[in-house]
Amino acid sequence: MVSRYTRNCALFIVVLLAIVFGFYFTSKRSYQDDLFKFPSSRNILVAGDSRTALSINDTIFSRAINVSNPAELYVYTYAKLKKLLPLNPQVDTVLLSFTFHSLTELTAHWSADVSMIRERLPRFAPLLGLEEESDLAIAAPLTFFEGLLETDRKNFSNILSSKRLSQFGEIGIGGYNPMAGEMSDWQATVKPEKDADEKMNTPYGMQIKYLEKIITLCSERGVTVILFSPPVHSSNPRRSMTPVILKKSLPSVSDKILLLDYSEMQYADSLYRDYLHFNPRGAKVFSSYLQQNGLRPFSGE
Amino acid sequence: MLFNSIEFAIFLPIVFILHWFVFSRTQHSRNLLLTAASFLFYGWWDWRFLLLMVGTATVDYFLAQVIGSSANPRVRKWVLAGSLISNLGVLFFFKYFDFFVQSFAESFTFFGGHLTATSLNIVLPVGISFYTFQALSYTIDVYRGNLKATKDYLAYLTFISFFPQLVAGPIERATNLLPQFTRLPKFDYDVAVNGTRLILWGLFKKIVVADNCAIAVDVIFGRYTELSSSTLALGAMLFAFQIYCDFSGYSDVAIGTAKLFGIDLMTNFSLPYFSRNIPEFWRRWHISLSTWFKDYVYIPLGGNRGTLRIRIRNILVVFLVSGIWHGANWTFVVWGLLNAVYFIGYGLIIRGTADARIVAHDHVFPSVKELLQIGSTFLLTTVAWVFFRSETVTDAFRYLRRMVSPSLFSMPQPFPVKSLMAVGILLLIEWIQRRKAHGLDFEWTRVPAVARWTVYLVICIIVILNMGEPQKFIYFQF
Repeated sequence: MVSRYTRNCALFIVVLLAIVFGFYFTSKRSYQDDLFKFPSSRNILVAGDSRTALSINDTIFSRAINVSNPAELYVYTYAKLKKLLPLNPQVDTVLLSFTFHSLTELTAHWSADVSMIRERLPRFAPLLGLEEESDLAIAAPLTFFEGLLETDRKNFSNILSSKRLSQFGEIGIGGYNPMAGEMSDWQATVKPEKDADEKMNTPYGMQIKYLEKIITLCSERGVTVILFSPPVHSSNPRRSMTPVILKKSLPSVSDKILLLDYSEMQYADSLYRDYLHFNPRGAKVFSSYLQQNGLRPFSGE
Repeated sequence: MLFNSIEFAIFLPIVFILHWFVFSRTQHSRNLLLTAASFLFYGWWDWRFLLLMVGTATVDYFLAQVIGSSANPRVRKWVLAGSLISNLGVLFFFKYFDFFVQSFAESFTFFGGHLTATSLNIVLPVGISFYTFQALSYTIDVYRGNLKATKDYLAYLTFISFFPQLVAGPIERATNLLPQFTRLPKFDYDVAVNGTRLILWGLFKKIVVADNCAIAVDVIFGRYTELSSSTLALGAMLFAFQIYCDFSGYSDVAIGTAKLFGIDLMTNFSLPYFSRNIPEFWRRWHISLSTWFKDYVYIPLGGNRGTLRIRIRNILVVFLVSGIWHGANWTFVVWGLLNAVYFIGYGLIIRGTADARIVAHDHVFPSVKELLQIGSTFLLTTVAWVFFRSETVTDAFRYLRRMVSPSLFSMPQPFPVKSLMAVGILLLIEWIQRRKAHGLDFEWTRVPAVARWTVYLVICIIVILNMGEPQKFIYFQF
């Protein structure tokens, strides 16, 4: 009797999971191509995480279009670029956010955090391929499943509302993202992250894999990838480690790829919201610098 | 670990399989598994409070042994007093210390003095109100001779910590639950299937009805100074359904889960909003707690024997204590007192024995009289719920005052369509099923398997579509 009950329950769960997964794969909406087409004057694509999302105001640095997204793993950036590059042949440069923590376990919680995946997976699902989904699922299976359920919910309500998107910003997968804040307020409340040093010394495989895939994708399309590190506040003890981490994590690529490292560029405290990110004033100043000077390597001036 | 979480969805099948396929050869091994599973379940929140629970339970185990083995009435009485002090002392410290310190300081200020209260910011252990009362019922029943003190420590620990009912009830009696851990259960297919349906029904009530109502209730109670009377009335009504579905949903999942392990827990809710009067409401709402208070507070005080003044006193004490049990806030005290006033008022006005059967038990629709009775009882309880939900007594009075104005007849804004639909579906199913044990208690043997599974799948999908961030159960805070 208990075997019969267990068998029936197992079968029920299998059927339910088949419906859940089936709906996930069959209800993925495709985004209209026109949402991803940018003006021909914009030949620089700025992609990556909050470091570029908060620091490059693309209304000032007008050659660029910022599609970065806070806490964005390279797997999501790769999925976005797969869609964006074919539709924007004018793009010849990708400025990809790269910081000393980008390839380390310090970014691992971006795939393990349930609230992040609930917010992110529904928006990115139409862009993700099976390989990307598998990698996210392997990195954090339960979290990915929660994201999958949330995607089903969002897709179901999209079917009911049949809302039509009219511009890239409405998708919610990237864009210049000004966030107000003051360094002094942040310094008063910040707590040191537990095990930060250990995580800094542990490479995060999925990030390395997808950085390499981005480099390959861009290379195949004749697009130059530049790893880009915006300024880091002087109070951050790791600000000089960016090139070191790159060489250590990607020795085969580090000599071939350009790293524009502005980490040690000095700016006033009032331009930062925390030791890694500019506030809107800082973004304006830095974006103006880029607009006037172009993508010049920083040599300590 | 929440019932409405993926962790529990993985935890339960593993424990179930281990229970019936590996550990059910002896009652000892089975209790070992259930206790370990319960510790994991409870410790998932905070392992430190696990030590507290085991500690207080162990104290009661030994005290009950002393009570059971002593023939000296004085010794037995003093040891029972020790158990009461131990359990209620722990409960008082964790739940009420900061509240009484703050209240004392405020009353000092009220009389013109100045006193700075230092709060200890004590974290409330989940489920403390439930398992301490459950442990108390054991020692009291041993004292009264209703039960022999068990020498089986593991069975006793399993009784206290049994995970389905550990954190939010039903508050079980040792006379009912403890014997179930001293014998090996036999798996009953129909009981297990019924338990599974009850789990599904409980999750439907919690996730589809309660959590949807919560969204509107939070907005309305948070902005009550800006909203119309009709909106406030709607908010109060939705909270009545939120708390009912949240709590009874939890109880359903707990009872259904217990059935999967061959354990029979008591019914905790029996369609309270179909009650025709306040006493009937209290026979149908949080039955395990109200019967606990009746057996261990009301009857020892004299019950309904004695003069009218004594009977009124007894009712006031029980409802006051019940209010305080719910939380360290004056709003719960007022809620309890208000219900006492209702109860006493009904008893003074109405004579005769109320009908114990469910309303309209032998016809399809309620009569006009029954409808008015149900409506008035619901209105009275909803007014009391405003105190339960409000942050302060002042907020509650302001809310109720603002509920009575000409805008009571305007269209509520916001108008929560989804919540109202969910409540409507709940009421329809519960009305149709009012003579049955629960909303999914149908004559399933007459329904083809494909149709049955389709219904179950549809309910599961509706539950999944309404799940957001797993919401805590309201009664976890008690």
